[in-house]
Amino acid sequence: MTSPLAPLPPQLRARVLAAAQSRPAPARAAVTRATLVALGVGVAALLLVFFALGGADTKTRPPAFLAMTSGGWVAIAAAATWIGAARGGSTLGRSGALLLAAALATGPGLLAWMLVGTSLWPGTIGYHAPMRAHLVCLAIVAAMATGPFLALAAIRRASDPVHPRATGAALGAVAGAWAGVMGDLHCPVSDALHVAIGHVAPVLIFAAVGALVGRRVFGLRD
Amino acid sequence: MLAALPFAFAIGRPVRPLFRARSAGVQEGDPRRETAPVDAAMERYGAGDDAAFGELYDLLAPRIFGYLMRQTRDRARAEDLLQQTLLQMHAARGRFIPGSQVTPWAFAIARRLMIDGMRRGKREVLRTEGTDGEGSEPAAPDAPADELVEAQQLGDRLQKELARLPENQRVAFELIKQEGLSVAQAAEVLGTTVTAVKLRAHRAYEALRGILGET
Repeated sequence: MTSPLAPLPPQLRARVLAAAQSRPAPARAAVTRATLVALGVGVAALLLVFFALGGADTKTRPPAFLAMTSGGWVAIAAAATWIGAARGGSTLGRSGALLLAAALATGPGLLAWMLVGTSLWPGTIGYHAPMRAHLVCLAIVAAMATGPFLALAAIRRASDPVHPRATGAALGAVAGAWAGVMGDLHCPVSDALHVAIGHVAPVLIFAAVGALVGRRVFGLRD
Repeated sequence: MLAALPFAFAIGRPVRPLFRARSAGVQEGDPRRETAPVDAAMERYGAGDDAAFGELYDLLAPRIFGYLMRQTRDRARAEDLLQQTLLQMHAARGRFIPGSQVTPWAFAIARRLMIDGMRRGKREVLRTEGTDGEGSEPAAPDAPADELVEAQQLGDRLQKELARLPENQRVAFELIKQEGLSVAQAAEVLGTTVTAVKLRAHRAYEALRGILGET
């Protein structure tokens, strides 16, 4: 099986080795360092926006409600990160179907968890925000998601030979989910429509953006 | 006619079971014999051992080249794609996950580069016409002449029928049956699930069996 259909010319080996030697590529340690730096910058950008806007609002909502909803959102964002950003022990990453499932399910999952929380604490839906407030929150969460998304794009750029669009969608959802977590900590409005538009829609928007730019950003380039 | 199917596949490619159990014993000539050394070489190369790239080339290049030759039927193109594949692996060496398999990664890169090249229309990939020429290995030299002729004809017919199958079924079948990848490895190359690959390859096999069974 492993014998070639026709023997490889020895000069091809020399040519490939010489080409590799002339273009040094970073080894694992350097790539790990660059990954950590990019992640650090992405997280710092998210936190910068978060704290610039006043940080978490912990006084308006019952602490148990806040702990339950935020804890659940962190768990969902962590699960999305594990599926969408970690490659599951394979250099090629997870299957396209799983990545797409993560991209599509993260936003609805966050909203569903918030609905569970508000059904247990009905008093938290006392205020129905106007559309303008929805859009302001959407803009804030989108701003917070931008840093992590760019960081993930830098880390995984030009590396996916199989399903770059699905990878882009999953990474967009990951960035959106963590921004959603921080946005929800910042904004005390728990009305379902506001949460859907202001806190969860950016997850789907970034997933869509990731899918759109996936081929160009995450796809293998020759 | 069906009884000759494995022999027909032996022309230009080895006979392999359709779905290989991962726990099955490793036989002489089985590509899994190379898996551990090639993965180890890539791990060392990823960790910064530059000398391991030559070893990686020796272990991987013949197999990738065989795949590219079968797909393109163009030696110059196959050599060019092989060089690009190995240079992509070199460029991404720091991203290789220790403990993962290098073979599906290499096949996926080669396949992507080939598809991108086809899309750009730089070269026309000839897939369907015949198996003669430099892409074929001789069948067993001690086989009777009439069996060789029959097997050659069946091999040609199989290639034509294979080319008519839906793309996803054909590719899954080729990766498993012709390139010797396991179902799990083929699933990685195609970015899909093991179940999907099993289903596609099985459908291709059934379609081929149905077509050949008619004669």
